[in-house]
Order: sequence, then structure tokens, then C-alpha cells
Amino acid sequence: MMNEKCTACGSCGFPMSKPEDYALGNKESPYCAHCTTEDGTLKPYQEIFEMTVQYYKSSQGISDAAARELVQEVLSSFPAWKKN
Amino acid sequence: MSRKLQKQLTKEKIIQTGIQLMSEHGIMATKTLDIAKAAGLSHGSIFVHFPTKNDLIAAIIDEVGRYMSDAFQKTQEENPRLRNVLESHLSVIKDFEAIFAQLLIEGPLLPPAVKGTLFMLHSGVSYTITETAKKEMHDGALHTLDPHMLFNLWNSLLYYHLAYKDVFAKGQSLIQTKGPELINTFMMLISTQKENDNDE
Repeated sequence: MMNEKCTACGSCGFPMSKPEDYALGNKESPYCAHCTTEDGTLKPYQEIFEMTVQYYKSSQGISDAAARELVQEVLSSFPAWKKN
Repeated sequence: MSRKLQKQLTKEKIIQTGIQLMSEHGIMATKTLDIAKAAGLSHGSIFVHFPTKNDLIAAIIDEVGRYMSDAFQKTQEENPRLRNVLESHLSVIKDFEAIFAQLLIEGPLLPPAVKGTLFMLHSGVSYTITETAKKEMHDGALHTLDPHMLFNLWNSLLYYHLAYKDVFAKGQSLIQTKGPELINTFMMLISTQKENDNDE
């Protein structure tokens, strides 16, 4: 069975392991620090979407249009956004 | 055995069987019916866990991603240099070599949902590689490269060899036979003279 130390953010899929990776530094949180505000609230979808698009572009050099298409597909599979 | 545990075990069996068959026969050529038969399950039970074949392929990529996250997390605890992170990357690829090679070969033809999962995995790998390299770049030990080029250069080198593993390492593990050479060559190219002197 897979090591349970690493969990993925339920909003963007970012792997979380250290306390600072989690919202409010709390390892019980389903979301990462990047997807939440200072009080631990999940940011709006559009903000997460744009942040993730920019990250895909800077980390992999892929085009804006391709990043938007891929990120839309990826985010729609995560628990936070499945109904959208 | 609880129902929840049974469901989890069945899901894992489908993933493992999917990895095995798709490694041998290719991703598009493998039918969910073949996976069901090989796993000793009804065809319907596959769809309970994975409504479409693409959902299963994405789950396989996620499985690899989880092993990578775990390996990187262990490596990060030891204050690694870039070389250590690349070794960690290859150690996971080695365990999934055959299915990963198929993903590379057929990936461009797979739908956006599956491609998205693969590129999400790439983002995680890129993050770990570039965050580690930042320190050595700041210290002048590595040439300064934009994050996406550092990641893409390493990934290109690796993926080319993986996609043609039958040419570079027929009947053997590509990572076992070529892994050290890939890392050594890459590190030599991106290291400054200072780093090369330190290594002597």
C-alpha cells in the first residue's frame, strides 16, 4: 500500500507532506497553502485556475492555450471542483 | 474483510493489471475487457471504479505520481543536491519503466484529460528539480537556467531514451543500464567549473 505521508491537494493536486504545504499548516486540511487564504478558506475556482495555468507555463514552458485546456481537464477531476 | 477495504483492493488490482497489460500490448490496444479477464473480474466491475478507460489511464499516471512524491519527500529530508533528486526521479521511473515508455509513445495521441494528468505529474517533478537546483545556481555551482528549460532538458534526455528503450537497452532496464550515464552527462553540462572542481 502506498505511503500515506504524501497526500495531494484536493483542489490542485499539489503533493503535500511538510506542515507548511498544508492550509494553515494543518496536516488534516484537504487543501494546500497555495489554494487557500490566510484563514484557510478555499480560494475561488477562477483564481486557482489562473494560478495553476501560470504554474504549468513557468514550470514546463507550455503554451497558454495548451495550459488552459489541460488545467481545465485536470481541475475538473479534483474533489473541490468536480461539480463545476 | 470490510467492503471499503475490498473495494480498495479491487481498485488496486485493476490498476496493477492495467499497468501489466498496457506495458506489454500498448495502451490503446488494451481493452478494458482484457483487463477484466486478466484480473479475474467482471467487465462491469471495472466501470464501477473507472467509468471510462481514460479514467483508468489517468489513475495509473496518478499511481506513478504518488510514488514519485513519496520518493522526493524522502530525498528532501536529506538536504539533497540536484544529482540526488535526479537519482530519486529515476528510481521511481525504473519501477514503472515499461508503462512509462508506453505513455511517452502514445501520450500525444491520448485525450486532454489523460495528457493533463501526465503534465500535472510533470509539474510536480519540475517543482522538485527546480527548487533543489535554485540553491546550487545561487551558489554558482550550476549554470542559471529558467525552470522550464532545466526541467525540459532533463526530461527530454530521459524521455528520448525511455521511448526507445528497446534500442538503447533491449531486454534490460533502461534506467539500470543508462541511468548513471544520463545523470552524469546532464550534471556535467549544467555544472560550472566550480562544481566540476568540487567533484574531483
